[in-house]
Amino acid sequence: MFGIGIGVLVFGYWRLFKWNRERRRLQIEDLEARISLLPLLQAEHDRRTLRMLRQNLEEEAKIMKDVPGWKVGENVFHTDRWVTPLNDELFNLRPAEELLHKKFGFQWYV
Amino acid sequence: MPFVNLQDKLGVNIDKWLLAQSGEQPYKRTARCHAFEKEWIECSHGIGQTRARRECRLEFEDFYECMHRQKTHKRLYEMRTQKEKLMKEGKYSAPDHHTGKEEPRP
Repeated sequence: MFGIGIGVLVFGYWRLFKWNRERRRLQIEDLEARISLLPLLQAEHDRRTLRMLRQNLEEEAKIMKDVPGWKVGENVFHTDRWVTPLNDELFNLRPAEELLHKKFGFQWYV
Repeated sequence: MPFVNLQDKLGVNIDKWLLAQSGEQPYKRTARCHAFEKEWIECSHGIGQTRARRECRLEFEDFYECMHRQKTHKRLYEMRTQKEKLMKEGKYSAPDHHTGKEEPRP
């Protein structure tokens, strides 16, 4: 009886290992698909970032019109280089829910 | 012992990899403030500390700002409070794309 039990166990393990290897191959295929689409995804992301920055700039000009001594679109850095904007900066004037989605939306479990 | 460069003498790299964010990183992933730190290090290398404090002040301030983002956060906070003040007084109503009613685009 022990033999039967251990036999069933070993058979189960063998099937598991085979299927896991197959899953690994499928996952590599998914990752390769993502790699090949990366230029598109990066371009979309960049366009979105620039759009949000432009909207923020225009809103800032409207909001801070009457505040004395405020330079619209002032760069906090002394350099002219492109500094990737923070999530906080992009979602500053939007409802806080959107920032939460951006930060933690990819988590499917708590 | 700074005057006895033991790690170079023995040819090992015990903690030199820890020193700067701009050093060699695993999987070649860059730090967020890589450029600022590199600029600061390149500016202040070789000259002494006193001279570096004076001459590389701008690079250092940029690096500090990148790390801690104090000026950025202060600016964002002021913008937000001003916006809320204006909304309470009724002089400003947020456009659609700032109230979550934007139509989804790619």
